Amino acid sequence: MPLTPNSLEQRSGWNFIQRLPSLIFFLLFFLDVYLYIDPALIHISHFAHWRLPPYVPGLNVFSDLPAYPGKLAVFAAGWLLHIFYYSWAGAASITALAWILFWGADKYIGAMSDGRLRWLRFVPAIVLLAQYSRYCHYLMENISIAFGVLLVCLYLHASKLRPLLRLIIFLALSAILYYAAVFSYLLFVALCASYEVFHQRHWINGLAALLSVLLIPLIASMLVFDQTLASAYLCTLPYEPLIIGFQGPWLYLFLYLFFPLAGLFGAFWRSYAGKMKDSFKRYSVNATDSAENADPEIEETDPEIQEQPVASKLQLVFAASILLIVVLIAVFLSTDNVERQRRRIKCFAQHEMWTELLSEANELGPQDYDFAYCHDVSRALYHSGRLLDDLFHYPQVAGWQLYKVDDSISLSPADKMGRNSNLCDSLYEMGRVNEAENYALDALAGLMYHPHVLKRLALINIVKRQPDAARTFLIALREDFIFRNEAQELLDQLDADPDFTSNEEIQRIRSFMPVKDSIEECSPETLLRINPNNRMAFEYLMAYYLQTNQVADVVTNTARMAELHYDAIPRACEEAILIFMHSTQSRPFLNGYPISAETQERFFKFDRIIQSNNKNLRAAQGELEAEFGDSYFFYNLYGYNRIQKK
Amino acid sequence: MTLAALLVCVCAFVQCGKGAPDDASRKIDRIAQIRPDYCGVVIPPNIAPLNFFIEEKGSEYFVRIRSTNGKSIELHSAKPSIEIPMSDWRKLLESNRGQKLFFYVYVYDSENQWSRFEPIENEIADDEIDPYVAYRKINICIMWRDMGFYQRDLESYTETIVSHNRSYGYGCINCHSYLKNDPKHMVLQARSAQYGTPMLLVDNDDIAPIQTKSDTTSGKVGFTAWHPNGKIIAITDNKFSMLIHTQAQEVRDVFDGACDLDLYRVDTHEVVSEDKISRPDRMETFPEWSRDGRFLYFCSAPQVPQKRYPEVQCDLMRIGYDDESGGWGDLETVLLAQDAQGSITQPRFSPDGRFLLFNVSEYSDFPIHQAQCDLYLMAMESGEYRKLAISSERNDSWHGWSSNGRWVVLNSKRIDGRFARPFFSYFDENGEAHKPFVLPQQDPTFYDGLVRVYNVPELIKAPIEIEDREFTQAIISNRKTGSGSSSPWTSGAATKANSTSELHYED
Repeated sequence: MPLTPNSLEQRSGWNFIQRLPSLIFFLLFFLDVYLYIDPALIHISHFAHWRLPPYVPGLNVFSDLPAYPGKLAVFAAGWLLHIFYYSWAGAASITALAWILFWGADKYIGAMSDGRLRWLRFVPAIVLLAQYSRYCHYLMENISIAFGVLLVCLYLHASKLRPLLRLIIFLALSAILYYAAVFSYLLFVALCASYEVFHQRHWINGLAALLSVLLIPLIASMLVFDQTLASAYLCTLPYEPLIIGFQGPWLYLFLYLFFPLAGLFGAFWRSYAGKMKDSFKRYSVNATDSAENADPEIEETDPEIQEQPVASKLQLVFAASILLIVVLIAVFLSTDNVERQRRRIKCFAQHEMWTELLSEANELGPQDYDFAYCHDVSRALYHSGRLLDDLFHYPQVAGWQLYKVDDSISLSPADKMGRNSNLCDSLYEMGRVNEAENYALDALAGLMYHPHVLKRLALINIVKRQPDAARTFLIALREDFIFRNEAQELLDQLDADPDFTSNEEIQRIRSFMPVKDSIEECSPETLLRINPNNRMAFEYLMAYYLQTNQVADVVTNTARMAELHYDAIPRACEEAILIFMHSTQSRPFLNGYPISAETQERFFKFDRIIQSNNKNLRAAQGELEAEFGDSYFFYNLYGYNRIQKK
Repeated sequence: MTLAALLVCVCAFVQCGKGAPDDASRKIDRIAQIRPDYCGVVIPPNIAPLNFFIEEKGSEYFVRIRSTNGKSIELHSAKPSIEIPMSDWRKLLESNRGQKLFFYVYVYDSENQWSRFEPIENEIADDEIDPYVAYRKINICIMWRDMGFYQRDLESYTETIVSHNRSYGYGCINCHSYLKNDPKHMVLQARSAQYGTPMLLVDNDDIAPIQTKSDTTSGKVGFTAWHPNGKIIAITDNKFSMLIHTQAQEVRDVFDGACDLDLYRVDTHEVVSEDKISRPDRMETFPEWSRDGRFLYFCSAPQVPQKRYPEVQCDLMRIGYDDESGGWGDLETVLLAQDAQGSITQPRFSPDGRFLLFNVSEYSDFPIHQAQCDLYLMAMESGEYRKLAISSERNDSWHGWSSNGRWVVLNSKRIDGRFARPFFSYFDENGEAHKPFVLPQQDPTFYDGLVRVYNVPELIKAPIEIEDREFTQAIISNRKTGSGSSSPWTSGAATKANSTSELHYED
């Protein structure tokens, strides 16, 4: 049928309409990633990923680090993750990655099924969305897959060349992939071999492609990389199950296996459809968006589709609706709200947004807490002036001390780095500057790079009156394009006033610092002896006493409150004092501070409930938990507290 | 086109306006501030160009590098970073050995005129430096993710990886030592949770893991020193732990819970202990052979509990040794810590044996963590010793000699007090050490924001030719064989505690 200008115009309009579902899909994809998943929440904790070196400003990845298979994908992922700091940039990157997978799937499945089953091309993007909804960290692997799929598409372009030439091209692309993105090497081989066997019907090339799996790693191990033969083969596996910090790989493996399975399915479908050609001819071509097909041959051979706009439009609407439903189901099933909240808490802590942090933490259940979140919440409570009032509104875990490391808790290296990074913040604020420096240095070494830790180290050295060292840390931070201005501002201040004499925060922390060197841990008691005005040391000490049910120490230290200008005894301390008074039948010296009538009333009510249950604590537990679950009365008695969601 | 032509004209005009500086330029009565500090230093004739950054405000910079013979190097730069062409630099240095080298710095300043600073005067030594320096580059830490052992060609800026811990499960390679600066005879230690703690011995083109663990030793060799005959290596067996100071300038410190000396025989793979150098009441560390091989020098301090760490004051000792019979002489005190007014560590003999370079710090047998650590020199003939003027107010340690004895490499924290960088000092025939200069880099601001430290720099006569894969294979094969090369121990009377620490402290 000849194409007139008018029909061409109609066709291009129809093409656009057919592309609309894809466009809308990727627009929604971007918005979901940008507005809900929020790549900045991935950025906040990606430094702790042991196997994925972060972007390190100034590091020459080619000369400073040895060559190893997949190095380019590793560092591309590291760099890309760094720009996740800007949510929009992260969302754009993930969307671009999804589009590459979509496009690659379209080409490969289209080629394997002769244009059929192309609706499957949305699957990789949906899986990617599911991964990020769960905050699963597969960027390096996904980049490897995308790169591998791109090379497969390149290989498809060589389909008309002679078999030998195709084989040579295949080997060259294999070598490139092994070097650049080894995680998708086997995938690439499988896709190319399938294509040769099932589409080109060239068994020798298919077999040769499969056998090359033995050859390429061997050559790489012998001539290129510093690795054993075993690791040369093992690194081609789709993921490293033994690597620390790798979360459940199922979504990633699903994505990985999708391509070969979809390709095989397409090939069989093509074969089946070929047999049924006559009866199914008009219906076997994907109706949803065949005009979007980049292969003009298909468009030319099936002009009928252009002739049935009404039927096609209906099919289009139907397909788009199905797609939307599938996406919604995938997103709904995969969304991990708890992980999102945990990351938001971390993010708020780093940006010192205490109100937002506490509001977010209110939503988490006790089972979702760990050391890092306890630490962040306590710090937020302290900075909000609520630590000793509202400590038991949030889960408390005995042993997770707020100001020192409990070595009995077993942590992965990545978690240890995170803990060190957390501890350096609170220790610094408390005046334990050297110990903060120690944790910060460990965190920096373990994480390779962390802008927040670099800044903390600079401040630590400023406090210690070591401006030269502080300058080195700040210049290192200035190398980071994201934190350049922040670092430069501090450098300018350092140049103008190396001692930061006009900076109140620095002066305050200096006044808290130990004056005498020791190799013993500097406890809050010691800090309070050095400077009785160290409110943070006092509150953390009291919180520790409360956590560990040392009510006598709480009572003893209440006398310090006058020096720290407390208007009244904080609620949790009042509750501890009442417990002490009740258990010892004494009236301790409280330096003139009264116990509020409200707290006393609550205590009597608490006691009445116990009495009404004949002092049977187990029997009273439910009633007490409902009314006093977030009180110290309850925690002291039962060893846990219930979060009162607000 | 018109716009482009106009632009060219404007540029040409601006360029003509500034012109080339001459002697009529405004004279500033001081030298220009540059970094790194390449002022008043003696440099080897085979060193890479000393690129520098001019710390003077200006819109254009001009540098003329001149010596007695040959053509001057003239450099115009819009930026304060001055990068000297390699070939011109080499020619200039080669034709001016033993001559002065001047940097004339001109800055086009805010008053739209060229300012001429007093020339920076350096000197080109006649003696070459060994062409390579090998070192570790690490984070300041005790557990690391990125730790490499590198070598740097001093005649260019080329740095290559000798071994990187990524290849062996993020383990560690530490103290390396060479027989007379020869990388064909080298020993270094590996630490890996997966592959154990072999000592790696390089013998010409071969590398082998040596297992040194026995009932009485931890199998973790610390410091080593080659006997001049190349058949014996003195090794230490340390039990390090880390201390955290709550107030001191240096946060971290290392305490040695037990340390003894042993000998490793290269030909028989035997490890030999001797009571005199493995006393339970003393810690013996930092071995160094006299150049005639007749004495083993070492540092020795009383073994004290950790809380009494300031009492770790090392004396310099020596003991006679007959390498023919394997017999030991008497212990002698060479220099008491009390006399040196500090703990004596890291003794290193000059190749001719005339001088002994060592560290003196407030306390400790691990000086790198001291806020201040000075370089001392002892003339062996007279026994006189003195603090070298090149010592900074900060930490200068991990020093070593070039094979010709004319150059000293040292790891110094003098730039910022925190990060150690390799410096080189010319050591003349009269026993005078000249102002050290930092290892030159192509980017003169290289060190400004480098938060990694250099560690144990050693000058070597040639590049290490053992490939990184061979290092990896040697470490990995330690697990496969379980023991590496056999090493039947000949145990002495000393009792040694097994170290349980997997930590390594050498920043």
